[in-house]
Amino acid sequence: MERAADVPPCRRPITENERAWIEFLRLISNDADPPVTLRRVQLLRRAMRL
Amino acid sequence: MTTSNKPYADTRLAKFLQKRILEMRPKTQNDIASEAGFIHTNMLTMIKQGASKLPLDRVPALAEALECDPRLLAKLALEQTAGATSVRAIEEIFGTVVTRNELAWIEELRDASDHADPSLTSRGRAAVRGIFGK
Repeated sequence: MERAADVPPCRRPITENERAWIEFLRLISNDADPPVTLRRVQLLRRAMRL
Repeated sequence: MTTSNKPYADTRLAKFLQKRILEMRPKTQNDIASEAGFIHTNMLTMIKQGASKLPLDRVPALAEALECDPRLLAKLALEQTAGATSVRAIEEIFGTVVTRNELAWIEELRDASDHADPSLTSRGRAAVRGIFGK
């Protein structure tokens, strides 16, 4: 199991807006920490284009 | 539901443990408690039920036993101990803590928005709900 310290840091600091997205993701997923999947990315990209 | 002898029953950590321990089957709760280094295996039961808090020094070992991101468990445990406001203050000082999966989500969001740093609008909330069928 990887150590927390071994994961490379974000390339640039997480913004307040991004923090809000992540907090909402946690709420909707009930803290399940869902992974990114191809399907989910497709849905996200589709929503961002609208 | 919180009662006087289960003051942490409504915390996100307690709810997460209840769900995650079930997901780990066939590994048993006793197996998990033992792997996490709890001397008394009923301690994990008490934490899961909200009768006790998760000691922060148990987080790395319990995260490994639960096969979850230690950052997620650490945030939930810290929130349980210090409260959401204190966690926010800590993150303002040390930086936002995200899991490996959440980091991937942020990178996808940046890429999908062409690095526009979009705010979370009602449309964005609807998009996230749609992704998870909520």
